[in-house]
Amino acid sequence: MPEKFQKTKISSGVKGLDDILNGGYFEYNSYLIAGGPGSGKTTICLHFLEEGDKKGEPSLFITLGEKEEQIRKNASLLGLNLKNVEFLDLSPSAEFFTEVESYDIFSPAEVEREPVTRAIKNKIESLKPKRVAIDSMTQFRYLSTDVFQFRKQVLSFLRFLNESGATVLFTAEASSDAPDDDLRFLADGIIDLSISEIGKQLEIKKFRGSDYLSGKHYYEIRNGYGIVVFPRILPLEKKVTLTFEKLPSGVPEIDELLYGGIERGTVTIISGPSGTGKTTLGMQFIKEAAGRGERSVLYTFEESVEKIIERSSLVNIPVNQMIKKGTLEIKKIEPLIFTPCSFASMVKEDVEKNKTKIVMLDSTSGYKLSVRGSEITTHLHALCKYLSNNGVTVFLPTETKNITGDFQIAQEDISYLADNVIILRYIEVQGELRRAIGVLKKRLGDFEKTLREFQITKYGIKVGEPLKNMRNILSGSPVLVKGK
Amino acid sequence: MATILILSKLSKNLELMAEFFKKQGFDSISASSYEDLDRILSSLSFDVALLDIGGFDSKIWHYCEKINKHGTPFFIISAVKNPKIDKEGLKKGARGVLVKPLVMKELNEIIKALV
Repeated sequence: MPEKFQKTKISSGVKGLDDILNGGYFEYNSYLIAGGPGSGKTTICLHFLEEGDKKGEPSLFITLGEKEEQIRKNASLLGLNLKNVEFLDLSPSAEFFTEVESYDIFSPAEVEREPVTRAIKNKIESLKPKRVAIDSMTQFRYLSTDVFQFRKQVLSFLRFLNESGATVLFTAEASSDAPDDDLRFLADGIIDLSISEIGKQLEIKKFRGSDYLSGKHYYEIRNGYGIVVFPRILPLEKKVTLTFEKLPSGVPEIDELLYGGIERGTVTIISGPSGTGKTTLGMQFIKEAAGRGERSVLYTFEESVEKIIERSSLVNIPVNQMIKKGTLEIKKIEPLIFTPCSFASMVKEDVEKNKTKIVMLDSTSGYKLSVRGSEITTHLHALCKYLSNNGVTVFLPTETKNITGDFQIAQEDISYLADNVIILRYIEVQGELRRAIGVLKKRLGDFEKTLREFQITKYGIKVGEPLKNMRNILSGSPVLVKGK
Repeated sequence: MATILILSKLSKNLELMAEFFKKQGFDSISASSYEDLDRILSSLSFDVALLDIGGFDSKIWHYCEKINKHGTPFFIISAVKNPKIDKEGLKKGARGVLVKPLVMKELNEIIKALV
């Protein structure tokens, strides 16, 4: 490698991928894009060349399979502009079939390698591209007499391209007959694409010279956008100094329970059976935040936006006004549209762009049912930790199955996520169903150990005095204490 | 300049061999059917014959005998290694049976040894 070539990083052109690669590809290196049919290998290459074209860099696509016309057409459908990208089309023409141009007297390695090599060499020398994509390198296997020759030819070919000043992406079509293990050793980096019933995932398997965000990241191929990658969220990524100031609820009795309020940047589970007022309680904190001019976002997995607006207005929480002022946004999350990473990316983008201070995910069971994928709880944990580390206060309304009786914080094992746990419970008093509120946990401070009656009225939330005249409240059937 | 008779059902095979032999400094005559062979054997002369028997029936052995009677060296080219083809070919006077795909360098050496 000539010393004059300094190794800097260049953008991949794919949204989200540069974050995973810590800036992009190294110049004058060669990267393998591996994956099955339809995984997006060619599209990743096209993004790469489009990015080069945008920067005025000569870019070349060498195709040995698909015709140039088809690639350009597909690129256009995906919203990619390849106007100035040059093509070297080495794919078989229709005449090969119609003119019966098949042969078997000599091997393809002897017949076609020289013309292919000459065509590539001439194109490289005339265009001097800075970015080259080869789709796919597997085809060159059939132009080699044996495995050793193939390896030697690929290595020397890549060196020729890199030394001519190009950064190279090449694809491989691995199969049981032609595994791509040798190409993996030759490449400076490997991006593995896979498709499962959950969705499409991308993983960096190798990246010489730099660290990268390891693990699997979801991606999508969207018309008009091409490939969009959703890097898995880094919980420890921190961009703000944390203050942990107390955020009041606006209801004095709740603030008494919490000894002042919920600390900013903490995660609070609001636990309770259906209908106890979990969402309403979360909205109360959001209403108070709106009064301070702070923006909140409610992600609703179950209820529609209209129902939430209607419900809240009936309990003196002016959601419509908050939405108009920009201090609240309610996003309905439709089932099975998002993967954990794409959802987290959306939340992260909103927080960073709009300086959102409070996020409520209503509810945790709704999140688990709506978001498709595996290890959902782990992803929820990562998202909450990221938000918390960036000073965003998180509310997680969490439904418990039992109306009364056996006590549990949540149906799923998520209590470890929470810095704070507020419980809402039904209690039966003299034949009447009432509600109680209490605090079970507060990581960053002390709290009142009593339970209080909790009411939702047309004037808003009302919380009574501590229920010191009762015991067995959490069983759902409290007993009056004699003499009180 | 030596002339080589090349026989094959595949036109692309004939084209590639003709191109190859031209580069090596040989002339070539192409045939793809029994009619072509009849015409060539009756009027033209050649120094070596390469007969790709793929796609031909047992009548090809009759033509092998004819070429052998001319005293012209010839090779059978077969798609697979087959003892029956080896035996029949050698019986009809072939110098050898070559299996496809041929290696250009080796083919060149064989032809140069014969002409």
